[in-house]
Amino acid sequence: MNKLKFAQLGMLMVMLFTVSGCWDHEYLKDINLAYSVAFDLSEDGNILETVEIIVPAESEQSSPKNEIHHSTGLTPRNASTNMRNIIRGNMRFIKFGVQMVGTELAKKGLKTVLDVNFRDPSNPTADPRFVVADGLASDIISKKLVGEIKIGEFLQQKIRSLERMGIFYPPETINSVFLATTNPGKDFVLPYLGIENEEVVAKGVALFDDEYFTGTLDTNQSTLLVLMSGEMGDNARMTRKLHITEPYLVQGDISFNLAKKKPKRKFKIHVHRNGEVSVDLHLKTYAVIEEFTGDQQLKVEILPDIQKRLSEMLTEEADSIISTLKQSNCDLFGVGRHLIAYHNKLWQTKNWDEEYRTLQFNTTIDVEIISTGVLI
Amino acid sequence: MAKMEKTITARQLFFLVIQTQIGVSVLKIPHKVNEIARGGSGISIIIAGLITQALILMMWLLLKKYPGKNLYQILLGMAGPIFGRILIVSYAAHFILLGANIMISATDIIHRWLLVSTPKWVLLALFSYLAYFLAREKLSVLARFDTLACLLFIPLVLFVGYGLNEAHIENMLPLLEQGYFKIFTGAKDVTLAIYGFEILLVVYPFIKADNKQILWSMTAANSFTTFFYLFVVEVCLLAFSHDQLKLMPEPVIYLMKSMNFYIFDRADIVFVPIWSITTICSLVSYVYSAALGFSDIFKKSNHHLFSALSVTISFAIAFVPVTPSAMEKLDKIAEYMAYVFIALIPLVLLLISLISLKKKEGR
Amino acid sequence: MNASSQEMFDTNKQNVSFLQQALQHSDDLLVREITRDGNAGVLVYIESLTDASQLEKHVLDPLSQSNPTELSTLFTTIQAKESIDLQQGIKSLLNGYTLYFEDGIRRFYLLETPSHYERSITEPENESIIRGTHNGFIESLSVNLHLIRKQVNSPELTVRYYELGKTTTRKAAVIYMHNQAEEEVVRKVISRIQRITLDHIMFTGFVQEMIEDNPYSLFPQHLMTERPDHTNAYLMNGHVAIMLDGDPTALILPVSFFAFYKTPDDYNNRWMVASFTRLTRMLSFILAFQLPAIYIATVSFHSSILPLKLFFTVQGSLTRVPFPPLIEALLLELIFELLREAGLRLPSRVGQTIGIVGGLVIGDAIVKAGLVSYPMIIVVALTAISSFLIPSYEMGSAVRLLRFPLMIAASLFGFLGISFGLAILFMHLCKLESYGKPYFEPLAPLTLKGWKDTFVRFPVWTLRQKTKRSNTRRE
Repeated sequence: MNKLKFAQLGMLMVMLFTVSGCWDHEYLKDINLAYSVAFDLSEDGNILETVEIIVPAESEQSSPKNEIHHSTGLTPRNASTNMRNIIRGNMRFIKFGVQMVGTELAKKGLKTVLDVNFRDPSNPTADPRFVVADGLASDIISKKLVGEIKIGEFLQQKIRSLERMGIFYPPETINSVFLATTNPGKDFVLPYLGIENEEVVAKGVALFDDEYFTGTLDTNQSTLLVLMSGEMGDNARMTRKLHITEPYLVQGDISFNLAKKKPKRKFKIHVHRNGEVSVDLHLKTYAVIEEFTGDQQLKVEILPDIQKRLSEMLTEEADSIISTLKQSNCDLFGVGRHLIAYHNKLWQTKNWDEEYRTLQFNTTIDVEIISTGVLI
Repeated sequence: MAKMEKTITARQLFFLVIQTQIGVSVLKIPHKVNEIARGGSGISIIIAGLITQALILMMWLLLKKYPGKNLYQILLGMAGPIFGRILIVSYAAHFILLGANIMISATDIIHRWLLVSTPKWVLLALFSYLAYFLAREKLSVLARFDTLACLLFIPLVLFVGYGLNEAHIENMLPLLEQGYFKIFTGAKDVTLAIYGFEILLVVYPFIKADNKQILWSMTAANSFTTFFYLFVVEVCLLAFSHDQLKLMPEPVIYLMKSMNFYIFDRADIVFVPIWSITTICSLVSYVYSAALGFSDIFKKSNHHLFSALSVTISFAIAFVPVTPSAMEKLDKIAEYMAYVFIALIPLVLLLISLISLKKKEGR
Repeated sequence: MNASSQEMFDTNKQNVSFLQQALQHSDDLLVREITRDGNAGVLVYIESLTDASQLEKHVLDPLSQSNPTELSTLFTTIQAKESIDLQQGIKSLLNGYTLYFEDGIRRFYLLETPSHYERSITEPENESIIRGTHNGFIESLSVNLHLIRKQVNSPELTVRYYELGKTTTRKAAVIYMHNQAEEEVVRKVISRIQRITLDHIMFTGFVQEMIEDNPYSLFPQHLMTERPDHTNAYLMNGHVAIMLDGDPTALILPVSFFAFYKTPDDYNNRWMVASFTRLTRMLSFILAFQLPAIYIATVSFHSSILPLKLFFTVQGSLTRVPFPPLIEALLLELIFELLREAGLRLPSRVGQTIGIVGGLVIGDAIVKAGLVSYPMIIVVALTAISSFLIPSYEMGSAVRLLRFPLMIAASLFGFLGISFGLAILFMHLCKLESYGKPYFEPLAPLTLKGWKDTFVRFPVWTLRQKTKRSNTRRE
């Protein structure tokens, strides 16, 4: 009995020390972290990969530095392999924060750059933000530093702040984008960044049909779009020109925030007898007025008129957003998903790509001013 | 068996059975069922639970007739020393095969998700050693550890439950997309995952409880497992659409991976090691059952060596199949063996015992 | 000694020479010849073991009384026994007795005159508490029993004496509450104690190793304490205590794993506070052996679970360290163990200096030299502190040893290694039994009732203890 025990222990020890090859050993200090990565379509149709690599700092006091590298390949994996020939050390994607895709590649579909990143067990998927760049994504990464901040960190902070501002919401991560591309009845939008005057700016959102980039909306529209899709960031600030003549004269620029109280959203999909589908989207929003540049004082009596005017303006804007969505064939609201779930037989008969373009949307947006803040 | 002392309570039986039932398959089951039953996966699971319940009832009726004996001793008594021993060996082989199957799936998943370049035989050896370490002990130790390991279900349920954040009810509708027939066939696949209740056949004489309590805790265990699977499958169905589930062999891990906690990123890295402990629990139960069978054949009171033997055979079997198709084949063999050993033979035994009992009464 | 008994001889001379021979003519064996009533008498005693004043007062005084009386009525002020067995005489001599032989009488007297040099009753240093009784056991069994009896004045308190050892015998006492302790446990303890066949029992540790169930286990299976109140609390709950004469330690059994995490302070604090501190201690159990392993697994396998900011910080401090994490950890643990061991044996003032040298000088210099990283220092320091949080010294040491295998497992297989290592550990804990009682009790087997006084402490009125054995039935 005891002999057996010792034999066991001995075997275990022998096993431990002979076998200690540490196969999956990957020491933290040897990792060169790829923090942001951009994929573009190169001129010859290959994948152009641009990576920002964080080089560990030499001591605790100094902060890490970054390097930008480019490589090309037939597939993202291939490009990464080629990249490893270029850079020193062990490039790993285990903590990367931002993945960007250039316009041209996005038009050819996201699956090529998504699949491998989603499936590789060592890659994170819940956190990295997915962004579409206007033009070449590598141009943005190649800026290397914005002020003192490394580009990847800058991009991540920027996207997070834009998410809080409600310009893109909910956050689109590798995970959510992958799920969205594989969901037949629902499409998605992605943050759309570009370079203007040497600065990286938010240009609105990129609309996607299935996995293909099909259109864009500007930042004003995207703020409203977030609310229309039933989401809400911390803020939804808008500024509009106000011009009312009757019964009072109110003229000036008005800034208001629609995300201080959760809007009430009524979203109904009607399926008629003849198989026609129509969608009602009613949004009741609550505005907090933050700025008004006109000469008039915002008295309680004129608020209803302002409300009415704003509602009209926003409804009009919503209509134009919807028509852009339809043109781009971007089923952001998941009408198709609803049909699959509740009207499956009908769905089987439909050619949704065609039908969606002609889908009837009844959209209204109501604005109710709940506070005028410091202005009265 | 000389060691006839009654060693586990009805409550411990409950934990023993759920730990045997819930093992490797919890990660795969949403993928597997979804392939056949789609939105009706939940219904498939409930049906499978009911079928299992019927089987449990049948086993219980059989065992009740032979108090103080387990299946092996019943076989010896009914089929004679030679044929009975052959049957016991085949039962032990069945348990060993199931154990090997668990080892293969578990190492496969760990190999894919956690330790990519560690050779498989090392992982298999680890699993084998742990299984041996526990399986050589007496049943009450097994039951104690299983009870303890059940505490691990709390983080598992919490982790999986966190996935409800991404739930969309539209994802799982329509429920009956595939029709009733497919839902029933889906139930067949689930039954495979619910295996483990047959441990009752082996441990029955060690339970310190009356028959009613035994049936009660078996039912409770089976319901727990069924609802646990139901929960996991429904969460996955709500979080992923059918097309997505098709792409994910282990949806639960994908679900973990898509979560973002603030203290640590990557819940899947924490999840897989926790889950592998519950896997070991079910492996241990099978190894123990097989070892007990061997010790019944050789009339030894100590199953120490036999559990080493069973583990070694499991290891050897698990070591062989390298290709996915071979693994598939092994899966199929295990499945058909299960029909015979879990359903058919106990049923035959029950019928025989009923008839012989009637004869006695007739006289 | 070969002969178990030896009848006394006829003459004093023969008797004395036998005794002297048996005791190797030791110089402290004194023989004093006196005459009483004209009869030649001899007093034999070991000088170093007897109390001179007692001898004077209770033995010499009565003997020198002028009026002749019967010998048997002479020694009334001390315990006196008659015997004819010289072997018993030798035993008694070694226990501080004085033997009195008188010519013409075929028996001799054993007179109890042992000297007592006892330490005063102070609080044990390594088990000090904040509130409650501040006394502790000392090196005398009778005083220790006195301390116990004084607090437990119940007729159920049972003490059984046993003589242990062959060459030198030690008195051992098995103490239990007759109505609380389980018969089965008491029977097992006594039979095991009687089976001890060592030549001499020097330490309580000997007894412990001779009677525990699993000598191959890392975990202590007897609670060792020097506190009477702690001992009493366990006695009242049906545990058995074993005490050796000349050792202030009480062995308490059967105990479960969680007993090592309780202190008497828990019951003097308010129950919520006590629950909180107990949970902290449980946390320390986890930290004490897992933290280095988790750290190693994280930096060498799963760095991706670190939040980004931490990732860069840790990476930055690791860049200059030339060793793999396991070696780094082992190095630091070794330094820590050296410092601990060095500080332990030194007087407390010097010990503090060691602490400062170790903690500040080496700790800082070793990082500056680039041998070890800051996070590792934090991890090892936290581990060390956690291991000292455990009230029982034995358990603390066991847990400290546990980290090494776990660290190796973590460096081989990462988190999987840790989880498998823990599985083995818990399997082992589930397997352990102490006198038929599961060692890991309220957790495995799971008894929710036991949780009331394990991880937390419920208010005292909810912890009512049932009497296990009715007190009417006697052995």
